[in-house]
Amino acid sequence: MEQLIDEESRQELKEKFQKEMKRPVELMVFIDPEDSEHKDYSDFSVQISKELAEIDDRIKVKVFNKGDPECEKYDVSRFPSILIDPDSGYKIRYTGAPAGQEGWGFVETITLVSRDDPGLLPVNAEKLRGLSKDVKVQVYVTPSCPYCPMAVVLANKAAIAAKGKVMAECVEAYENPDLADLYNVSAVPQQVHNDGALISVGVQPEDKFVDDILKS
Amino acid sequence: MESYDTVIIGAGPAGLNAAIYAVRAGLSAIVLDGKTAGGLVAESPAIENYLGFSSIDGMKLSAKFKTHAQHYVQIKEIEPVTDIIRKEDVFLVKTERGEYSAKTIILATGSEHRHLGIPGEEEFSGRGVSYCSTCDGFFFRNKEVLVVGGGNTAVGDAIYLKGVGCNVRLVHRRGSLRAEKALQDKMFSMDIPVMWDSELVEIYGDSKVKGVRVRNKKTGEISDVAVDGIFISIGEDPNNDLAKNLGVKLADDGYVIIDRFSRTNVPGVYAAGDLTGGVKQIIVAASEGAVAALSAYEDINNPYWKKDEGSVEGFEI
Repeated sequence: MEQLIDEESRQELKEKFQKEMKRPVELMVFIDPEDSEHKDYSDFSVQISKELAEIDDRIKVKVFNKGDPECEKYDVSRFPSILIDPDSGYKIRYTGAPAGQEGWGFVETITLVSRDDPGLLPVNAEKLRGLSKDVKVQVYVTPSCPYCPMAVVLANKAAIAAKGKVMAECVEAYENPDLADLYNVSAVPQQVHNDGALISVGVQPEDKFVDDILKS
Repeated sequence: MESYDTVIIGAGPAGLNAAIYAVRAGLSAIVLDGKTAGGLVAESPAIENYLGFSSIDGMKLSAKFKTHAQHYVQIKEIEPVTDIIRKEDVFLVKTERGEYSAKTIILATGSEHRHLGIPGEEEFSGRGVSYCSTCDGFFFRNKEVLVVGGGNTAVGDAIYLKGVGCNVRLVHRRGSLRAEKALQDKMFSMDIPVMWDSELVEIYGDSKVKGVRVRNKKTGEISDVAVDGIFISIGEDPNNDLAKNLGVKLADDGYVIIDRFSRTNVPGVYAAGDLTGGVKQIIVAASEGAVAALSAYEDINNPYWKKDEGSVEGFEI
């Protein structure tokens, strides 16, 4: 596969990471080398992660194959998946390659995690910090949806604020049509809380997004 | 509070080009956008003949715009502006996250998809009704899809959806299309049928869309058409709330009135891009942005409104 991030973008990302990152962030990429149907997505996920690591050496990448004990440890059953810094206690994952428009949100999330900064309005971050239950927030996306990364980043911010309580999962619908069909996804971004307890379509304002999590 | 010579609201082609010109002219500037940079350009499956590109997908072009502008200016995304208040010689720009003070304001807030306003449209939004073909087209592969509209966006959407693998029909309320001829030729060469002189009167279904009721405007006949998806591309409405709050003069259709210097009737407030209506082309949005920035530069150094205190001299339509 040819280089995914061109030289100009590399330079910009380098500056962004230098300015915005504070501590190392680990990306765990899970792939199934036997699955030819998802091979391109797996290759993409590994390569984009490694290219980001080339740009800033504080980004660390580990690649695991289906069947490795880490799959069970981190509860990964779909491939490819990327977990962002799970050993810090964050539950942030991309189920499917962060391709197309999603790349922006993926990079943004890495920098936020690196600063342990939810990047939410203080009042909303505070509400989420007090969350006492576990909430799973899936955001269904397509790579050609320009608004989707906004929804994904909001979910990821919530997962940073409510560390270990909110699990944010960006589900790429092209790659995971069975999951998308489960919730009749026909427009993105679509949020699915706790496996269908609450469903919303479109990018939600931050206040509503946070309130939806609190009432899930 | 951060202070700028100009605060640019909206990070589409108009706002981003305004930012480049403003900074190049020597002004301090920041761009604020309630969504992500790129504007509606990012949604477009294919942009044809933006100078320098015979064809480029909207996502790529908008990413290039953003990257280019970021060389000069900070772009704050997902930071909606909630209000702008004029305080003597400065504007106070309030967002969800903070406040900025500005000597001038460039409004480039663009437009948003117009809705049909028929029964079932809101109810089935996200369950078969969509306003973004690039976002949602994939979900309707091998399914029956209608595109509503007759302009460049509608025809471009029909072509895109056909390419994705949808069974597409176009519904248009008139007997001819507004879309440019090259696009029409392409659409007809792809055997995309058109339901002429027809308008949707209702969208129905259960948990998702099952069909639409269509009225033929010539015969008055109403028929049911079974479809899985409806893509609505009937034009846009201006995002003019901030302009209204500032007392900016609007045309009857809600678009901001500007003169050839991209000035509005309010001294120190400029507008550019789709917000000003007209032909709504990316290249025009970018050029209006450039004009707005250069006018802001000129007016900061030599305010026309101070030549004759209180008047809006210089405002020409």
